Amino acid sequence: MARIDIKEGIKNNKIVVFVIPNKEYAARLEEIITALSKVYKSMCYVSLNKPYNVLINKLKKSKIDTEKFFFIDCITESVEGNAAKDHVFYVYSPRALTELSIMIKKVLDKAKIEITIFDSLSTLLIYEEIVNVIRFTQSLMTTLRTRGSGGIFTCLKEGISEDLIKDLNMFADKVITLD
Amino acid sequence: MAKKKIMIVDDEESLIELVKALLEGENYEVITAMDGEECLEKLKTEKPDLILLDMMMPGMSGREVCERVRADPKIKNLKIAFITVAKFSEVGKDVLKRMNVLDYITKPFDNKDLIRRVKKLVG
Repeated sequence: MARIDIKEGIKNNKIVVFVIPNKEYAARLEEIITALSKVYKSMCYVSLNKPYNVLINKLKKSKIDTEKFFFIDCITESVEGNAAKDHVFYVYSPRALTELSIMIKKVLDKAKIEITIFDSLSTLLIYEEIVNVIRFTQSLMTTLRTRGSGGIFTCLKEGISEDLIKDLNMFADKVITLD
Repeated sequence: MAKKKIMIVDDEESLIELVKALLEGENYEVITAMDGEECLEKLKTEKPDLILLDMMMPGMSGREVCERVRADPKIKNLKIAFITVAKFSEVGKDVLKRMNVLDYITKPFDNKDLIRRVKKLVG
C-alpha cells in the first residue's frame, strides 16, 4: 500500500518532485506508480535509465496495468535502434533534450496524457550540467501545466544539491522528501 | 536629474543587448552582468535602482543571487524582478514574496510590456 505522503502528494498536487533515498528508490518508485495507476487512466512514463523491455516486465510483475501507459524510452535506441511500437516511443539518448521535449509534447497531445512520470532527474544530471537540467525540467513543468497535465519527477536524495531542490521548488507544486 | 540605473543579469548575451537597447532608449542607465558572481561583484560598487535577474544561469541561479542580495545588509533593499521562461507554481510565488521580488517577467516578453513594468517599478 502506498505511504500516506505519496498518496497525499499525488492527490493534492499537479506537479510533484519526489526525493527518494538511493536504497529505497526502486521500492518507493513502485509505490508511486501503483498509487498513480489507481487514480489515472492515461499516463506517460519517461525512462532515462531503464529500457522499455525491462520496465514493462517490472510493471507487470508489480501487477500494474500497463495498458494505461505510453512509454518514452531514452535508453534502448542508443544501443539497439528501434522503431516506435504502438505505446512506445524512442529517443536516441538522454542527452537529446530537444528531441525528448518534442517527443513528450507529441505523446501528451496524441494520447491525452493525464500525468507524466519522469524517471529520473538524477539520471539526467549524469548527462547534463545542473543549469540545463533545471532549465529542461522547468520548461517541461510549464509544458505539462499549460496542457492541464500532471507531472511526477523523481530524484535520488544522495547526490542532489539543496540548491537544485530549491530551484525546482519554485516551479513544482510540491517537493516531497521520502525517507 | 540623475538617470535611473538598471542592472540586467542574464547569461544570454543577445537578451542583454536587446534589453539594454530598450532601456537606454527610455533614458535609463544600464549595467550588465552575465552571471551571479559578476552581479554580486558589481554590486560592491554599483547601486542600481532595479535588478532584472534571470532565474536560470550557470553557476548561481537567480534565486540564489537574490538570497545573497537579501542577506547582505548593504544591498538587501535593492529592487529585484526576475526574468524567467517557466511558470512559477503557487509555492514559487510565495517564495518570490518572501524574497521580496517585486515582479517576474516571462520570456518571450513584449518589449513595451517590459518597459511599462520597469517604469512601474522605478519610475
